[in-house]
Amino acid sequence: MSDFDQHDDIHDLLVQAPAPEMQFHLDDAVRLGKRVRLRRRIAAAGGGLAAAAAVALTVTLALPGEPAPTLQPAAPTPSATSTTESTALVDTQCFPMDTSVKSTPWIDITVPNSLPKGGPVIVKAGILSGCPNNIRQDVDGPEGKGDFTLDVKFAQKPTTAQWSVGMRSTVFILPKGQRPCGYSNGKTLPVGVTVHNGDWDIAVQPVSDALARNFDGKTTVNICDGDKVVATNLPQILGQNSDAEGEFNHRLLRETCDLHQLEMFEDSAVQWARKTVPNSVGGRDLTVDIDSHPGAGCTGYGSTTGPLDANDDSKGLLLEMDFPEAPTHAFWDIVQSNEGDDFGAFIVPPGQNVCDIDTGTPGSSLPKATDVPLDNGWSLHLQPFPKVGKVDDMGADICTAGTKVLTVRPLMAR
Amino acid sequence: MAGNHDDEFAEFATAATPGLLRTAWLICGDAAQAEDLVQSAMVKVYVRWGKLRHTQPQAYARKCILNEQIDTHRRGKRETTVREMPEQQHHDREPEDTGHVVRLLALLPARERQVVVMRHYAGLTEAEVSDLLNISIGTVKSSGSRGLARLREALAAQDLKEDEHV
Repeated sequence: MSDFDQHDDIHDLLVQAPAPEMQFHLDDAVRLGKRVRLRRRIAAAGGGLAAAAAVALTVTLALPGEPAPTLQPAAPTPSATSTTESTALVDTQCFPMDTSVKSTPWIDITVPNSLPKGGPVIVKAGILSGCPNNIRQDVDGPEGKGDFTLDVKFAQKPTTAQWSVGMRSTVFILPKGQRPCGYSNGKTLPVGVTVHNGDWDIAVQPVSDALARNFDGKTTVNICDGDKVVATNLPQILGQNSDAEGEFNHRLLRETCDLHQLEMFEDSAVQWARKTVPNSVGGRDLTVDIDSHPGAGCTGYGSTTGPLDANDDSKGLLLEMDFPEAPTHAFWDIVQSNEGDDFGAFIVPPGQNVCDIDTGTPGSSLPKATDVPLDNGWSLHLQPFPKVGKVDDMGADICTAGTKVLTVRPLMAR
Repeated sequence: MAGNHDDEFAEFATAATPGLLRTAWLICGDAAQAEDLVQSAMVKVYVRWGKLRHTQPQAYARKCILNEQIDTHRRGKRETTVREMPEQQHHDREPEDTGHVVRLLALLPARERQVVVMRHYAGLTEAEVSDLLNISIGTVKSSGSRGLARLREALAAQDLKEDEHV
């Protein structure tokens, strides 16, 4: 038998061999994808120097480990199947990005060692004022490796058991002494961890990877008090309908017209420049990605930093800069490595250079910078900053043939 | 628009995931893990969809699957069923024996398995596999050749055993 024949046999074997039934969950991928993207941007806006540039929208979203003025997805909602229905949902529901939504804190407690890998679950609950629906938000560590926060705002203060399926966990807010005693999917979970909070118990049961797909939005649970069943087929608090939430967010972003946020939902981006500088920030690669958004109808700019790979911090940093139209003069921003070291990333037109930098810290000398040409004739000047002061105090002089032509402040200071 | 973004991604995902699931399953040998690998990869594709939609999202998805599978394997996160098959053990092959092909592939070292699956299931060229796995074309050739030889030996041995059981 010739190699060719054998290869054909192998191809037939691989293509035709019976395979087990496998499923891909599109809605889950889209929902998590949106969260990953949002989290990356929130992290960029919430960390260190970038806090100065944080926009109003982001403060409504919780960061792990921070006190969370958090609002988000809500109770079960009908699926939006048309623009009209979606808009109607938007008009009648409260959404996490709506800064007008107020709530009174009720529960804020950590349930330690409750995830399959030992991480904690943080349960935050509040009581809404003036909202017709519950709002739920999850904030999890990177790819579920860290802790997980379930943040629920109730339209009314509960008097009976509440529960929700979280990241690799089921989370219960129970009248004291009650417990879950049977899931509708027939699965059995470990007892889990329960902590007390006044007249309520907060219980978390870990859900292994193998069982995770069995706990979807349709799963219900029975609740027992001792041996007595006090609630049957209790539905869970669900995340918000993603179409309606997306419609709301999109509308909000349209109104605020901030490229920093708009880029999440708009595909108006036209790549203006992209360059990777190897081993440049804390030993990792830095990729600078600059997009313009002609026709988006926005003014201003967007600038965020985050991991190059949203799921792997070790692969380098991505600095994304967004402009309404193609840039016409020098600009720059600050990148912070994972180790906390700051760098200035200057984008300079042909024939110009960075001739002086004020880091906002008197007397500080700057180490050697790296200059990298961009494909469009501009150049990237990457300058390590041993120490920086306030962003508002920082500035850089841009020169042509030794003559200063412009002083520019970092984008985040604008 | 967000709608277009999601619609386009959904269209891509619907078309690509059956092949990706099978690719992942052939590589890792476990259906549940294959589902996890593809689910995770498609999240990454979604996050970068604005950029990938005009390039090669499927290639990026494959790369994510392979990277994640390698990481998972290194972490020892899972024990895959493919390791359960010693060469000498006889398995009766039923018409719907979904473990047969992964048991065969499990006999190959990871690199050879990846090359064979990408070349002879996914239909990638040597250059594409080289880029995907970040190895030289020479390594693609040698790994593929060795992998095919092992599979050939295994298939021959299996046929012999089946003949003996008749």
